[in-house]
Amino acid sequence: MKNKNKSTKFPVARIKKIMQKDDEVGKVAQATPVLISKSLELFMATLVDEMSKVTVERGCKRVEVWHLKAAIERTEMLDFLKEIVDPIQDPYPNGADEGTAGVGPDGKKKRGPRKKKEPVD
Amino acid sequence: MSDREGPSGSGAADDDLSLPKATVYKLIGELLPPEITCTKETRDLVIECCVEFIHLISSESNEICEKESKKTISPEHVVQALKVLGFEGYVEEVEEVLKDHKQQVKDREKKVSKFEQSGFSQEELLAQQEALFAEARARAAAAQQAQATGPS
Repeated sequence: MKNKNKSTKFPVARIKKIMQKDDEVGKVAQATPVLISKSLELFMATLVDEMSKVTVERGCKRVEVWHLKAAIERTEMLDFLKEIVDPIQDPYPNGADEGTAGVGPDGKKKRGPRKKKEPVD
Repeated sequence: MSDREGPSGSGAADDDLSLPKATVYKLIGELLPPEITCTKETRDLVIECCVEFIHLISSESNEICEKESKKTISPEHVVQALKVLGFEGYVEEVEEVLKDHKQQVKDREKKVSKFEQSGFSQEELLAQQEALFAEARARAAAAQQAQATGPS
């Protein structure tokens, strides 16, 4: 009850379950998932920070999946997530969405459609 | 009679192994700059990344634990894993939480029940409770009356 007012917390029991989904992982001390929970909070802060930076740099207001991909690819700390975002395609690989400053590889001005749906493969 | 471990109980397991969406969504909202929002696809991908992070830390912690020939993954193993994996920036705050947690456990053991601390007998406490109830009832009745007489 004490920490509830601080901010949102992850359920410790769930974290323990996720940990033990890995068959290698055996017994876990009581405090261990609590620490993982805190680490996860900090990690999420890093992740959200990096992805929203990309969004702002690209002149957008909404974080798209390819912003998250770009954030993961340029942040060393997030290296281990590369496989997860590998299938995502960045429709604006030159680093600017919606054609704000986007100049295509052949020098053509690239104007993205007003509303582009997430590419599905 | 009670075979809970049977295969029939594995129906909800799939959902159980991810993080609660509402919690993660809320946290993302708290962490994003105020004018920035997030698509649903991105939020779900963040959850995936979080689960991957848990697996990464626990598997590294497990390796450290095994190297020390221990059977139980301790908080110290997690701290070491964070350092090895390049998250040394998190260590200070995580250790703070460990300290708090240890303190909380200690307090819980030390704490005599509130009843013993109060120094009243059970009858006295019951009388006090009754008095508080009566007071609350009176307040509620007065408020209701005020509302009934003058709905200005």
